[in-house]
Amino acid sequence: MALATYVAKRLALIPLILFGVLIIMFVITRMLPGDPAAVRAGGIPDPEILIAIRKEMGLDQPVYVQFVIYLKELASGNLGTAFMTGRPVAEELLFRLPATIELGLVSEFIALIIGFPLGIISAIKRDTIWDHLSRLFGVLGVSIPNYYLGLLGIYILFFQLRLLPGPMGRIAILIEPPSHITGLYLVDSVLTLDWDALWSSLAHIALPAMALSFFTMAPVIRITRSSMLEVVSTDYVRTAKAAGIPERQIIFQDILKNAMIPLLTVISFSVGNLIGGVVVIEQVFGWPGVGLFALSSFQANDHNPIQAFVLLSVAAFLIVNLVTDALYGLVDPRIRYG
Amino acid sequence: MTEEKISRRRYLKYAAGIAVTAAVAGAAGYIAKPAPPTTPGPTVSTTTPATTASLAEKVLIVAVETDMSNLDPHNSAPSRPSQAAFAMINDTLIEVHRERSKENPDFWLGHNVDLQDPALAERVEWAEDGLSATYYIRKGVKFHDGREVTADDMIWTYERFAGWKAGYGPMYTSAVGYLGTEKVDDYTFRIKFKAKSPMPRKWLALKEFSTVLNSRLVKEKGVTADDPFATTWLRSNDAGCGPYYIELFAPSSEVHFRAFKDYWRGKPPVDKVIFKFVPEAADRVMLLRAGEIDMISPWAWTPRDIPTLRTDPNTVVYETAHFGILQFIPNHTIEPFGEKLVRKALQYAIPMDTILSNVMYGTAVAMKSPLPAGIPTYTDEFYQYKYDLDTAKQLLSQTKYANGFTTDLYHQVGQVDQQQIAEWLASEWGKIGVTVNIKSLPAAAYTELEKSGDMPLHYHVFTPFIPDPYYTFKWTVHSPDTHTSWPLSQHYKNERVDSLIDQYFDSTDEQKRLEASKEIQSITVDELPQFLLTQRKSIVPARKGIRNVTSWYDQCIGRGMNYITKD
Repeated sequence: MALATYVAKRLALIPLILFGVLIIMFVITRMLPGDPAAVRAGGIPDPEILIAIRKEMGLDQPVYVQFVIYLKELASGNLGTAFMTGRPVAEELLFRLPATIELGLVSEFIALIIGFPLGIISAIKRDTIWDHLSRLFGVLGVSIPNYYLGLLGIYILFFQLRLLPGPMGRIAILIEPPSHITGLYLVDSVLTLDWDALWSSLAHIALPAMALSFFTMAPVIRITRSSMLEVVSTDYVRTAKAAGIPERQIIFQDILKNAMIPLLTVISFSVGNLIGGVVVIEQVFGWPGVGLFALSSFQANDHNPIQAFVLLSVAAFLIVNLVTDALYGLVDPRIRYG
Repeated sequence: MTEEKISRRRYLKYAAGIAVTAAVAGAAGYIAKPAPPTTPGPTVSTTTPATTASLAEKVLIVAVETDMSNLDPHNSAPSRPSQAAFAMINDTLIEVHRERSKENPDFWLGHNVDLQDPALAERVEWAEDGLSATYYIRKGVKFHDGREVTADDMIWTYERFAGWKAGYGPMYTSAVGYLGTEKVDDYTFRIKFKAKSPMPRKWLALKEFSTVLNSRLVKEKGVTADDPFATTWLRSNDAGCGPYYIELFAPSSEVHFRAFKDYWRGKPPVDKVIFKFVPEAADRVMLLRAGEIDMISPWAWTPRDIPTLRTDPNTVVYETAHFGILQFIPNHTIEPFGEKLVRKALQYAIPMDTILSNVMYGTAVAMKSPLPAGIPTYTDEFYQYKYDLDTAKQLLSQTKYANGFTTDLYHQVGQVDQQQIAEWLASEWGKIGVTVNIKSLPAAAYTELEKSGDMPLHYHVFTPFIPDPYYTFKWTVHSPDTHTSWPLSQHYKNERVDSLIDQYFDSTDEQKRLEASKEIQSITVDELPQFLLTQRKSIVPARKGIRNVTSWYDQCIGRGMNYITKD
């Protein structure tokens, strides 16, 4: 009950936070240099045409009027129109979101499935070659820019070795995507038993997900290692060892459990890194997600998609933080809410 | 306790096993699968029913550099891939004449808009007084929905073109003195002009100016009280009669085109064309070399990639001289660019050969006139400049800037060649005492600043879509007026130049036009309203076996796709 109340209170705060972010973003996008009407007008400098375009885009109104109009539309779920594409922003995001979610989930999964064990090994085999290698792996992951890592991966694994497909999107160009259920190709392929689509989707997501995961893997390795080392040196662990309890049991039952709290924190922060990293990785791999759309919108100073993207990112971050905070109580029974 | 131990261990084992299996399966599945066949699998469409594919289908995949978000041919500033996309699905009244390149029999050139072949219009009759042109539409030409093309469609299309204030039309129609259209019969209509001029005939070669839309379909599906020109519907729908129709429209990723079997010229040789959005230039090159794509769009290559593609045994680089230029624009109202001697000094300090080899890698030539080579009346006889720092210093010493000065040079983010040229200029101009601060801006900010006319030095990529000398002069050296922008930002004014351009813009006297053009070039090469930098070639990188590629005056890859063949 205390947890439910805690979650409800946090959920109630989210709209307020988003409203504050919206105001800030609305003002900032209109202060930034770059008139989206001029971009849309392109090489046509005729002032009359520019006026017509600005009117069509609603930019001829004062900023506060634009904001009120935007709020009214937002209340009915309308995020405005993307000026560069002419389509509703909500439609654009819904169309592209599954691609980004899928990429984010797979990359987070890879980061954890590799980072976690490496951190454990690093802690258990402290100051051995395995420890150093794990830490080096983590440092490289956070030091090498995503962009470069992505291109390097494409060059080696696709162009030279042909182990993975080229940056042509989510699925081979001549293979039909699976029937739409969730929009996540991996899930939809399994649900519809479309094995061609599954293998192709797996192959196409492997490289971008790996490139994206490196940046989040490094803190997972580090925090797992340091949290475990902290617990390893405690009296009760030494007592357990002295009592002859198998090491594996001590690791998974005692040490890991107590190391989970900081690890959960790192995982929730990694979502923030993912949001930033996904923009770059989608650009490098031509991944048709929200990040690529956001990038082109930023370059054109297309206000509505920029606002929507920031709101989406903030909402995602807030929800992940809320889930993490709720999980703290499940992982550590000493934590109480309310 | 034991059960917990087992379940945790088992959990980790299963998780690791699934991850490894999935990764290996993915890689193995990719390696084991045969290379993507030229026969496509069934396709999914958001706009048309999925079609089945035969085993003998030819598929051409073209990598483009931005998404194709707008299919409207009258849209004010479509991306180049969008322009290519609507050229694929639409047809035009006339077509610019193509001729085979002398260097490569698989390469064709369509640069001269004065040479026109019949297309949708089987013939055109110009009135003696030049005030009208009568078009006789070919009978039996079908739109993609099966309806026939008629004069009513042309007339509605022109009404839309001229009437949609936020589109391209008003600028074009104003520039050519367009008055309107009239119907003669179901297959004949007339376009009327204010005055006799060589310009309308050239403008009407542009695909934006002579395309036809399926007026009945558009009115049924797209016209509303709030949107009488169906601007929303035409962004993502096909109302054309071109050689291809849209099979799949996923603008953030790809657009699939299917050959139109009832196309009036006959079904194109390539059954299916896919425009694939590949944002990164390096990726496009790797994909081409690996055989995953067949062509790179003419606007989607970078200079440093071309030497590799020229030497790769699996690729071919179709290239020819073209008239696209990189304008390098000084603002004459910002000191010291108002002084001719300063501009000349800086021109002498441009390391042109180095730029052409180390930045452009042979994909451009030096400009020797504000009029690009290849445009009628071009001459290099007045060009006097070469890389000579001593002359540059000597000229600068005759001004009050003998000790140099500091200036800002702007370029757009992502334009690597512009940035590299800027770095070379900063280095070389630094040797004569000129300090250059290089500033890069994203597209929106750059465009806005350009239109404001406040940048001391900046670039502009310009291709004169109408390769006419006076059209080009209007955009490059005429003093600012309401229809041009880059002369606005350079603030150059020479009354003699303006007067010659205005006098001969609409003249039909070819000899006088030639003489006046030479005089304009003589003046402007000396006065340098803009620095003379590089003139880009038209280049289409492709896989070996892709033939009958055309270089058009506007380098639109979508036009003439019906001629391309694939071995």
